[in-house]
Amino acid sequence: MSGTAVRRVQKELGDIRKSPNKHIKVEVDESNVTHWDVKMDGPHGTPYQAGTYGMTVDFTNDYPFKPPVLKFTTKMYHPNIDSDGNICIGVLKTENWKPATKIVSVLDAMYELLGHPNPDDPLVTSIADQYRNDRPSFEKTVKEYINRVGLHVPSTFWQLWFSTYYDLTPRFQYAK
Amino acid sequence: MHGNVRSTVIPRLTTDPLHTDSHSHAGKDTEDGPTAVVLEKKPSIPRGTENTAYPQPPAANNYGGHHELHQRNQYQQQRGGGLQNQGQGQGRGQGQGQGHGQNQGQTPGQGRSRGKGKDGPPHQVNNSAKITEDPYPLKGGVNEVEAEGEEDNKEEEENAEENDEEEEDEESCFICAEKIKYYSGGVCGHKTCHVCAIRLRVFYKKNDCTFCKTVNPTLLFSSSPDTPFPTQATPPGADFEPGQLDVKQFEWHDEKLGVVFESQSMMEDVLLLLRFNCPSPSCAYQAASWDNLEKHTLSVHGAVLCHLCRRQLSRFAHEQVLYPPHLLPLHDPSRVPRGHRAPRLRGEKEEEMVAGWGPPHPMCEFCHEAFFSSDELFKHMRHKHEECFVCKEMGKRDVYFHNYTQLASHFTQAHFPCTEKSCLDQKFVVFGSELDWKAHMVAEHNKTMSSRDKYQARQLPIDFVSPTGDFSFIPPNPMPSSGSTRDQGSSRAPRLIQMEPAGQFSRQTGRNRPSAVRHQQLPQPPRDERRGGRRAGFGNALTSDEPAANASGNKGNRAAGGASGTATPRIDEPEEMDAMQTELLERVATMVEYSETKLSSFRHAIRSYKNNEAPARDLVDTVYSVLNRDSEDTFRVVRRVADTMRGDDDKVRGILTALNAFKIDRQNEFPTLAGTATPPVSLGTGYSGIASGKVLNAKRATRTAGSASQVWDRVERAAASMPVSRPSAPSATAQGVSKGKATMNGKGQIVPGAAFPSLASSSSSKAGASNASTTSAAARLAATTSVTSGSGYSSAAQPLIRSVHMPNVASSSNKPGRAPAPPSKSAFPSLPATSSTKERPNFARDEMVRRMKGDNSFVPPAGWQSPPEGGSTPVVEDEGEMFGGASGGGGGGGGGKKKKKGKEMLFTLGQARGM
Repeated sequence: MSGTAVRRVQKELGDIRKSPNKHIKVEVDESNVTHWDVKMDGPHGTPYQAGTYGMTVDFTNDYPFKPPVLKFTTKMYHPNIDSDGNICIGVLKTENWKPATKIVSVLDAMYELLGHPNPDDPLVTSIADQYRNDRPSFEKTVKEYINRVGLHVPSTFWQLWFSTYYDLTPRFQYAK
Repeated sequence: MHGNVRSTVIPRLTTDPLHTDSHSHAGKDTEDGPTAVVLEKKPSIPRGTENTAYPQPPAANNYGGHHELHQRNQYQQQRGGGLQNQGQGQGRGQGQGQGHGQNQGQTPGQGRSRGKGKDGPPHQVNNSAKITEDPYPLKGGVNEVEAEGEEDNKEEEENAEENDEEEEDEESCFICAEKIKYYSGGVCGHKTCHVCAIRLRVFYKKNDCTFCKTVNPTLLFSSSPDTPFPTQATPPGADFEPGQLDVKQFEWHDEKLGVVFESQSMMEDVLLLLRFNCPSPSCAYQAASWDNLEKHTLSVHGAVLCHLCRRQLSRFAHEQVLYPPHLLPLHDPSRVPRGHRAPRLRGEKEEEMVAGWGPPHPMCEFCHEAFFSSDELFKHMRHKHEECFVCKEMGKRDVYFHNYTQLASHFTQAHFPCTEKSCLDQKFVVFGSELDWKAHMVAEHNKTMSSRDKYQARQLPIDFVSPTGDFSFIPPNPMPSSGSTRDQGSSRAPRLIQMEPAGQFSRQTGRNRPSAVRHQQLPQPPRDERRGGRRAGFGNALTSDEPAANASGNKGNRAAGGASGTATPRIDEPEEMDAMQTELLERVATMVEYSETKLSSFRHAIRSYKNNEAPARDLVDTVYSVLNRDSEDTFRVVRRVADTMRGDDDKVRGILTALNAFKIDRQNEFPTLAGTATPPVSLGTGYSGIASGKVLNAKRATRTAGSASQVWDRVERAAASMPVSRPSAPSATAQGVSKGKATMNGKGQIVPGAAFPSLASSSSSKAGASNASTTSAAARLAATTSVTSGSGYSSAAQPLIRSVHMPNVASSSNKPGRAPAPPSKSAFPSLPATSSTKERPNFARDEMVRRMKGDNSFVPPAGWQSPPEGGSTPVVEDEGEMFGGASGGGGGGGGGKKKKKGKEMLFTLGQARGM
């Protein structure tokens, strides 16, 4: 890894630590700062809100000049995220990437994308269609995913309250 | 400022070697170096006064202010000679002052430059009217020493101050996080370091600002962050884009890069980056070309460069990595000849070195060619090789083949290509599942297909995994459910099947699933129904022997991946096991001495009856056989079962009716029934019996019967070895069949019986009714396919369809005395009601039913159907009676029922079962 990339990553890391986002937590192994583990809460008021989503950020050798690689480690049901966790988001496309883009803003954009899928630039067209045409069932599936992945850990009173009014109990699981 | 810088830098340049590294950084220049140097020059000028007197003076950088024409003139003049130096100095002073005042306004004392920088493009603001004369700083290079004197000094001082403050914010490049030596900026006013700027320009071909995406055709490199962009040098001509400078007006510029420099030293510094510098940190060698450089590195440093890295051109020459020649293959795998091993590392030193290199280049194994990054590799694979689109659709990505030939062979091996010539010519007519393939065949090649082919094409493979638990079958691992919907479909079946033991009576099996598991199924039925629709779309036939029809022998994997057969919806009602059931189960358990096998078959019998999958008759028979043909016990137990079903009158009535019939059966067992037979009419009835019954009887009579226990053992064995196949009937019209081999009746219906070889043996004994019903359809088909299941079946399991076979098994247990069975009742009139025989059949039937459970739509053989709706049938109330009579009467009665029930059953299919 070139010195430039590492330096830049460390700078970004410092920025993040200076002003942490409570919805986005970054864990970094100091021995390899070019790989980040990110935990992102689902944006409030969206079907994703009950979950916490894992993500990895990998910085390439050419990092500031080439976009980092973000991937969801949590299986997501989202028009712009495929089953492998690949993300389709404008800022990360090579042609749109600017070396000056801060990783913080990328993560913020991801957070935003979670709550506001972009069905016009879908990675999974079927989900995008569903999102466009049948929002309720989309949201239902999202919640099912959340439950299936076992992310729903009601920790607060309100989450509990929410779960009593909205059935979040697992309905089915794939047989092992 | 430039002036200062220039003055300071130039001497350095002379002193310093050409290495950029050796140069002090920009910051230093302005801070230390410059201060030092400048101080020597400047001390004469009192700063404060200057500032106050000329709040603006140092802003020498304000190129913005001038009229273009003016500027041009000035430049020309400047170029021409130093004549106008003074004028320049003045002009500069003015320009700066104005610019400064405008932009900053408030803090003249502190770095105005800063203010400008932050305010945005100062030059733009400053432009136009105010300042008329400002020489371009670069030009001033010549003049600086002479003319700029005071102002320069002021500037420098200010800069020094500014720098102090800016050190923290602006000193390091935002992109590379390194200290900035030279600032690079375009019209937009955003600054980066010169290295990043060059890198972006040269390697990434990006001319737009990395911050705001403004296109910057020309960049200005300066040693201070507040140097404004010289707008005055922009010619109005159509050839120039906004932000583009007429580079040639500047003394130090690089036309190719579109960069204007402040001084020659800066220019040299910058351009030095683009030379072929030796990557070795201690070597100042500058080569003329890559080859030249490589020669140098090899001879002097004993190392080579990676051609891939070098070609990729994302790094300057001096940033390239030097590889020891013998270890280069570890970085570029294509250097390892095919069949050779990669070099081994010796010593920690080498290991460390290699570890520092990062991952090696990815390589195309087909071409043995490495690529710089996976992006390039991906491009290559896309262009030069073939990707299996079917695998891709099914979720397996990046499956590539060298060429179409190999891809084609993969198609035939792993998928379902259309073998019609037209499609072969077309190429890529391949399907991921047999279902799709057949759909294609029927849709596209309908005309060329023989009716037989069409018929076969309409058959659906149903590969069901046999239920787990009770018979100690180990179900093949269900497919992972990711991937395509198709996969999910196929994996659903096993799941369904697994569920069954979890039913009401499943307490004991080791494989019982928690009740929660049952919930899992709930969402499934709708999906299944969908599939049912699709299936209905192109024919309802299900057949197991179609593999032969497919003619492609390589479809072995179909069961796993392609099998599209699915269980029809099945609704498991999670009912609580009430105490009564528990008690009943326990009681039965004691009766059968806790035989797992028997218990499970008992449970399944109840379950399937509950779920409308099997007629009550079946249930009764199963119980009978489970209880070792003890009619009395059977009667009692069945009554209790009926009790547990209270609340569902139809069911109870059905049971009682069946019980009644059973009793009659018993009673008639021994008497000859020859005359009583009534021809079966409806679907399930003993149609086949008509044809073969008597003959069979005769045959059977001639056989020797084995002992009952033997038979039972055999049944058990057969059951244990039963293959995974699980018949299901997708709909009323289409019924699923056996372990991959299903038999079809003439109408494309599948006769489940065939699927359950065990049935044949066991059921043979069972009242002809049952056999008849199950086999009838098959019997209708002149051609019935007998399926030989595994060797395990040989004795016990024979295709039900072959009513002919049945006697064999049955015969063993049959007692000659009984021989004459009512033809009407069963396909096998000869089937004696002997307890032994009955046992077997029941068991087998049970198994069959169990297998069929996956299907809602399965139509139980009419003969067996207990009349759930059949309120009309009399309910026999007496329990304790022994059934010893001739079977004929019972058979006849059964036949009659069968018709009715068969028909009724068809209607009941849709009902949700519940017990």
